[in-house]
Amino acid sequence: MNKTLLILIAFIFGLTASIALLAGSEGHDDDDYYETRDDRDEHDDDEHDEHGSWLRGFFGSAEAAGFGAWRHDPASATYGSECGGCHIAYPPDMLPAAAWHQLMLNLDDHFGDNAELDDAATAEIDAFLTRYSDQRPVASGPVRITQTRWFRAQHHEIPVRMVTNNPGVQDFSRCDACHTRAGQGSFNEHDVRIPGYGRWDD
Amino acid sequence: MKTACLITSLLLTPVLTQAADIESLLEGYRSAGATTFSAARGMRLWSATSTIDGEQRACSSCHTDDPASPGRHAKTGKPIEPMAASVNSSRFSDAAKVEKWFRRNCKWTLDRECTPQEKGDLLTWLNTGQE
Repeated sequence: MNKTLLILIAFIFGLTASIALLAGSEGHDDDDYYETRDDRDEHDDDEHDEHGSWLRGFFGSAEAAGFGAWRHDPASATYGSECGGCHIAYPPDMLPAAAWHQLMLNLDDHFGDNAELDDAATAEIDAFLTRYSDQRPVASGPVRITQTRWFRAQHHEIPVRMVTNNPGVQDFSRCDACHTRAGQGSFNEHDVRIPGYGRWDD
Repeated sequence: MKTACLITSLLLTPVLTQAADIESLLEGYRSAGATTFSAARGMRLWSATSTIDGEQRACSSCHTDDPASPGRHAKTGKPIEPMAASVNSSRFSDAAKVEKWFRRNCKWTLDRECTPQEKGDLLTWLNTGQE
């Protein structure tokens, strides 16, 4: 066979193999979890990819499958109206099922507030949250999203003066104070605008 | 003449419907044992403070003293539309929603459920936003 053709085939093969290895080798531990969510979100919106995440999706990353699926579940309307009245309806994959279940059992003391619901709504939302919860194995974890390992890893660089002592933010639980697209489920760093400080650029 | 009446009643539908919504809620409270409702009593209950878990709590903590004003959730900062039906026509149209929030907020504010009398008094006051 033609030598040029052979070289060309070998080159294409090598290139494909390299891309596959590159996509697969980008490991993501707990610290990068949120970044993974952001990347998948970008992919979901057909926007320009970051960190080769779309490649992970292309080559069948398990996490890429089903991302954002909770939004299309009919129960998400109930979740939004019953649990989004005082704060944003936090994406279910921010906590493991056990944590959500603890929350749903104690709605009468919901971080100092009363968020009680009737039995039917409680059961529906509990099942919904469990279905789309953080599936990674965790021995035991906090019930507060802001105290989870992944959350702290994502926000440990933010100075206290920009959050707790900032009247425009006040608490990390107020995602939408800084994450301008939190309502659409996007927490991408590039959309962050901290009140009184502007963009957050690493 | 007929046309005028028809148009007027159509225009008044939201107002009439709302009056009907609140009236049906009040009817429910009456059948649960409430007597005459008083906006003045409702107003006093609205502004009364309780100390629970070392915290001062009142309806006005989130809703402000003036039901015609927008409020804010004391912890999350989430804006709350005015409670007064006179400025916010969507209020009290959903009986289940009314009961849900009475349950949550009376329990938080007073550490107990509101009685049918208290609910009726509060709604009477919130209907007009004035005594």
